[in-house]
Amino acid sequence: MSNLGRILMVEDDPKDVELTLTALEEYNLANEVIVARDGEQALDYLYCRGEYRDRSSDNPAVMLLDLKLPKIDGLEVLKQIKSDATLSMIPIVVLTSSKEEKDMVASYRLGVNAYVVKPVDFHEFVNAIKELGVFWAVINEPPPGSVRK
Amino acid sequence: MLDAKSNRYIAMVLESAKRMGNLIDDLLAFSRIGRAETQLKVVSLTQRVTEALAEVRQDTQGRDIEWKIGALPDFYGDRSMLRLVLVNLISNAIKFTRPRQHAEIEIGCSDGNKGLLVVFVRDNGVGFDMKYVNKLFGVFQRLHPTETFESTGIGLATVQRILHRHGGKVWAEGAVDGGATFDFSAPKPQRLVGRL
Repeated sequence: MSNLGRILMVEDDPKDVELTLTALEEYNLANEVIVARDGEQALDYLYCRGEYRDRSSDNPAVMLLDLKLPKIDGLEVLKQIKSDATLSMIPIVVLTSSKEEKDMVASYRLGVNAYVVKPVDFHEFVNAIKELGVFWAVINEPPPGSVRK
Repeated sequence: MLDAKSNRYIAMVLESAKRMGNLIDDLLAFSRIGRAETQLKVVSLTQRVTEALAEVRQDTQGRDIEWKIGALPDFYGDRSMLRLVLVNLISNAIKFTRPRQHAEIEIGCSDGNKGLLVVFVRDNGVGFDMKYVNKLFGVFQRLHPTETFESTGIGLATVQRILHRHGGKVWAEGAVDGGATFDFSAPKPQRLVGRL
């Protein structure tokens, strides 16, 4: 596994962040994870503004997006990204505890690339994250302009 | 003996269970507002503030908080619901001034003419960006990560629901790092006594 794609994780719950990073560590995927804690921070990262002013302008290979987020929520983030030509190709996986059809339909309508309901069971959660990480950061060929090393 | 990782997981389980407990309590309180009969009478807000302060006292330990409590009017409303409004607003003021060495929290009455009473709770805390003001009163809405300011995101939704039931409203003003003011209004008692 030499080519690892950068993962942008947008998640406000510190425990979900910790568990996700733990799961990704097993396949050495954790080093390439950027964590944004709310929708505003995620957009700042993607647009290289605010605290991310000086980062190189490549896009992440995948974005794991929670829906319930402080400030700007996940659906709004999704909408902004998918309607911006410079960002719209970034694969976005909604990773949420919401099984509500309304959220799922809204996400697909806005162009989400995958919709994953976080398993409540610890082992299932860890396995789901590992599989997601491997698929999106290793197996999938990300669109041009993504970070891969 | 458990290793460090197992201890960490157990700590997480305990914290999460506690959080779930808080969430259930807050949701129950929120849903009760929608169903409970309101017992409307003339209620002294000064007394409700005193009760609310007694209830949140444990959160003020070790803190330097300057309280300015002005003269407050009587409200026509439900006593325990109005107490809950004040508990929520005051405990938010205590919470969001935590980074301040010297916190100032002011509770007072501003002149809301046209038969309205307007009461405010103002603090010199971390405030918020006015661009997100519409999100403040939504259920599960939070503007800060949980580890900075713990919250279930239900308190202000409860406050809003209570005031709507009283024919009043709540609104907020703030600035990032510039404190926050929460105002709530309700019709003046004399205008209501005949009607309800």
